[in-house]
Amino acid sequence: MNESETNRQPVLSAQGITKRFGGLTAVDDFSVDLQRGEIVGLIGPNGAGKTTVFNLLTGVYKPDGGGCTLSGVSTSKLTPDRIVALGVSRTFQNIRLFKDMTVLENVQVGFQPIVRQGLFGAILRTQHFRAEEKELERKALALLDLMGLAQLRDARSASLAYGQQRRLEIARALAAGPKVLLLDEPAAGTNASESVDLQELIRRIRELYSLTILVIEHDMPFVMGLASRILVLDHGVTIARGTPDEVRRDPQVIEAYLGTTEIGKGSCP
Amino acid sequence: MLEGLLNFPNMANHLTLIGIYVILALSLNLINGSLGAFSLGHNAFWGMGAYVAGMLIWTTGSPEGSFFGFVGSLAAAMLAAAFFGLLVGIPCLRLRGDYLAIATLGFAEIFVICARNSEGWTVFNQERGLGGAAGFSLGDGFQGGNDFALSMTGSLNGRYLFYFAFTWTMVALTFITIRNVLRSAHGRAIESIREDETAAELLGVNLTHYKVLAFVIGAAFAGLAGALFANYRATVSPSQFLLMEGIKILLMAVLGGLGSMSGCVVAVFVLYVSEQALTTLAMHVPFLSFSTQGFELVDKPLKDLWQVIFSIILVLLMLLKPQGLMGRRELDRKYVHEILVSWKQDPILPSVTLLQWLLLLLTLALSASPLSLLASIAVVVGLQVFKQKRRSFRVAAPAGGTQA
Amino acid sequence: MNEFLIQLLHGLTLGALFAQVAIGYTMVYGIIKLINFAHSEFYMAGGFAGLLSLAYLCGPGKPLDTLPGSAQLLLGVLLAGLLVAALAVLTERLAYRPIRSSGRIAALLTAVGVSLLLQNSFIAVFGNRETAFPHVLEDARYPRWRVALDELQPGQVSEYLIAYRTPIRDWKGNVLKDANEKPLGYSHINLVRAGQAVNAKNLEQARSSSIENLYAYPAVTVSKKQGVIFFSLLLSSLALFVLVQHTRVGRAMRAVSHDFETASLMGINTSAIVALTFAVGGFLAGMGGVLAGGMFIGTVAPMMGFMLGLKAFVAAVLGGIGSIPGALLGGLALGLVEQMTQHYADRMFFQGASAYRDAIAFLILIGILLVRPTGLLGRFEGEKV
Repeated sequence: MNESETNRQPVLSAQGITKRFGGLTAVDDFSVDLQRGEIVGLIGPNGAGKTTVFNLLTGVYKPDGGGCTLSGVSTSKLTPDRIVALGVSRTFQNIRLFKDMTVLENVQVGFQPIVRQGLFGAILRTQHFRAEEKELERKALALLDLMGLAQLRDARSASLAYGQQRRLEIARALAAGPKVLLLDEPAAGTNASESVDLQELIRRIRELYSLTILVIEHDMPFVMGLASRILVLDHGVTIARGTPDEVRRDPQVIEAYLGTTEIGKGSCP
Repeated sequence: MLEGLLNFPNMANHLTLIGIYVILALSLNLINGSLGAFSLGHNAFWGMGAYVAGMLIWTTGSPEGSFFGFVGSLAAAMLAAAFFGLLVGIPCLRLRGDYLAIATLGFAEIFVICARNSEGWTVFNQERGLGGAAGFSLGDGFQGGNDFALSMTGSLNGRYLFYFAFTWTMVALTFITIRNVLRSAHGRAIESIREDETAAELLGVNLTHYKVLAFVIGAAFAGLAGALFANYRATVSPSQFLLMEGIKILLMAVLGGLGSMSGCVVAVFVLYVSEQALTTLAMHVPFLSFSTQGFELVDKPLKDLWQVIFSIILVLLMLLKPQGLMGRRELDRKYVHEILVSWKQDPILPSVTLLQWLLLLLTLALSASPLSLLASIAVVVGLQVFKQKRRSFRVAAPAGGTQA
Repeated sequence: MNEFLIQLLHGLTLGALFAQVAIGYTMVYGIIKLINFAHSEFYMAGGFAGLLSLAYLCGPGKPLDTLPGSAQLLLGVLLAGLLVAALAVLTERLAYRPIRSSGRIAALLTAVGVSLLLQNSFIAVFGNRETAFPHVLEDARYPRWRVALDELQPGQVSEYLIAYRTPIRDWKGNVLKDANEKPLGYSHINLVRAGQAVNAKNLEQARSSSIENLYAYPAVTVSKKQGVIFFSLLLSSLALFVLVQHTRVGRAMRAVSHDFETASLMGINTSAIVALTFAVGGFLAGMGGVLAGGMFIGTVAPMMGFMLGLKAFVAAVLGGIGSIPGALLGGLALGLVEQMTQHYADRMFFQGASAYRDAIAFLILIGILLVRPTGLLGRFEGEKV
């Protein structure tokens, strides 16, 4: 494929994926095409199935219908670690750091898809091994620096403040150099000014690492300000898609959230 | 008791056994501590190594033995145990904590049952197979001169010295290998599985690969310990590798702190020395006993009660200090530094601890009556309460302060 | 065919014992997600509790020694059950409750520790050997029908086995009596086997001994002891069923086992419910110990809980851990498998195969965990990401 064709092919594409748990259809016929460099928002009331979509995209759940592709490669038969190796990375709704490991080690685990050292190299401490370890440490510190966490490198990750933990999780997700980043409620627990800083950070990393980002959020100003496109989920069904303005005015969306008031003016319940 | 301990062959003997237990504890620590799995079947890996090494020496060994044969048996044992670890690890991959524990226990029990019924396994020896419940000895055993270490060094003392030195070389090898694995991307991957398996998988960690790896490495080193044990003891029998032995190794790893390698070493020493001390103490304790006459209080020698004490230690440990002596910390420069800082800030605490230890050791070494032991334990507990009170009153406690 | 039926009955009896103990495992796991390793020692303690109760209350010269055998047995079973229930609640209170928040591995290790503690304490007190259980129940096999001695002629071919009970005598022929002037024991003597002719000498001997009850037995019989075991399991299961399904307390138990936190938020005293679960499980295990010691094995030993406990646990997993009917099913199934293995393996595979019957239980365990971890009747517990 030539350059222009690659650029036009969606980096991540979900085609009609569906997931059922017993009698409940958590996600119904969800489709999205993420183009290179986009930031797309995924919103919806609690329990709408947004995190389930993430789980489907990363292979934690196998879809009952439909499938996804990453840069044209089908992911339906792959285990999560293989999917991640193809270039997707995610953060979690409830922060899932490796609590007893240090900040630096947390980021270093993120390098797993690109690590080349062999076991015997590690045991015998070969030149190759030591060189790679040095390189990994350098890269990890660069990421931590970007997040403003470099001075906390040897602290136990559980001892960090909430906001710092969120940023560490993002740093960890960036370690392997993914093409697509899935952020699950990154602004949860942030106040207004922290939320603005986070928006800045996300824009910066998109620039720096040529990322395509899919964001789940409840914080309306945050997602409206960041995303160029938004999808709205309610009870597993995609009820609206379009630009932030279009979605904000969509009557179905308003009803799903609040009933009568316009959304986008202040934060959501 | 002290004099008995300090004479040379005795010392070397104890230290050799301690070394073997250290290897076992370190290998278990990799699986239960670093990977975070709950394997209760480590005694089977140990036994597997012992049996394989023993079989090899027994069937192919020459009367004087040979160094090659010895080392060969170690290598074969490691391979066999590693393979058994693979066998156990693969099915157990998808099992959670409790189920994994029981499944590994099941595998270990199957091993013991097979070992007990091994008279029929006549592939290796037409007469008695693998000896069944009685086991077998490697040739005529070292008393009969049929032992390479004996023939190489020419004397019994030499044999002890050789095994002591060789075993501790193996300990160092084990320690360094496992430490090097842990301080690498592979080690971080393994630990991340312990911390949060799902998150690890979503960062590209191949769960299957690393879980099996940890099992296999752990099993291999347990096999090494088994091979050393078999060669040293010159006999192999199922009763050496019962579940109780596996639990003992688990206690050592837990006491040291699951996840701490230096903790393992310390804990093995502590437990082994305590066991020796309590079982050789000529102390009698009044204890309940039931016979045809009914219940009565008899004076039981303390060594018969060692198992009971051991179980109480395990329960108390889990109730009071489940993270063990060192938690996940290693005895490295940073740790020692922290200790020294806390000592400088409040010299009373470490001095009291020193006092506690001295009191216990002196009582054990000098006295022979249960009353004095009880009294000194009471004083130690009282001092411990004093330390707790004092710690909780200290407002400016150092962050990351250590226990003493 | 007869051989098979006999083995079937034996297997079901063994299975009933497994089930009795498996219920306790499954109930505790269902409620606090803990494998109570010490449960097998509750069973063992029950055996000893029964032994001691009977020895001190119903032995010769003791207050209740005039009670009929079945009443004594009932007393022994109840006392053992109550004592072990108390032990179980105590264990939960002292050892399991404090570590409930410390994570799975700590809880499991504590359970292992308690199990070892009980085992070793009993070994220290009672010695690592078997102690005979008091003989309270006269065994008998059913169905059977009376035969009058006069009916029999020498040379007559008998369709059934005919046997009689006679008191044990000394070499002179005098009946041996105990301190209460009752016969020390009885032995069963076969007069004629099924399909054989009556021997004149045997008939003479029978006429001269003071025989008590001449009976004819078919090839397949159930013994009174087996009946007691089955009946106990039946009664326990029924009582448990009523408790769990038709009482308020039972509803609370079910609620707690479904969702611990929500149940406590709904106002259920979860600590009390947990204690009750342990008590019930312990009671059943204690019963099992007495039944095994008195009716099945004939002896109690400090290590008797180890193997049986592990197998009962396998039974619980087989049936679906957390499911009481599963424990019943699993127990009976495992008992059958083990009995059949023990009896037929030598013929079917190779000589000496039956010694591996203990390994069968573990192979089943591993197999179940791999193929269908929720067991036959269990429910699926997934993980929320």
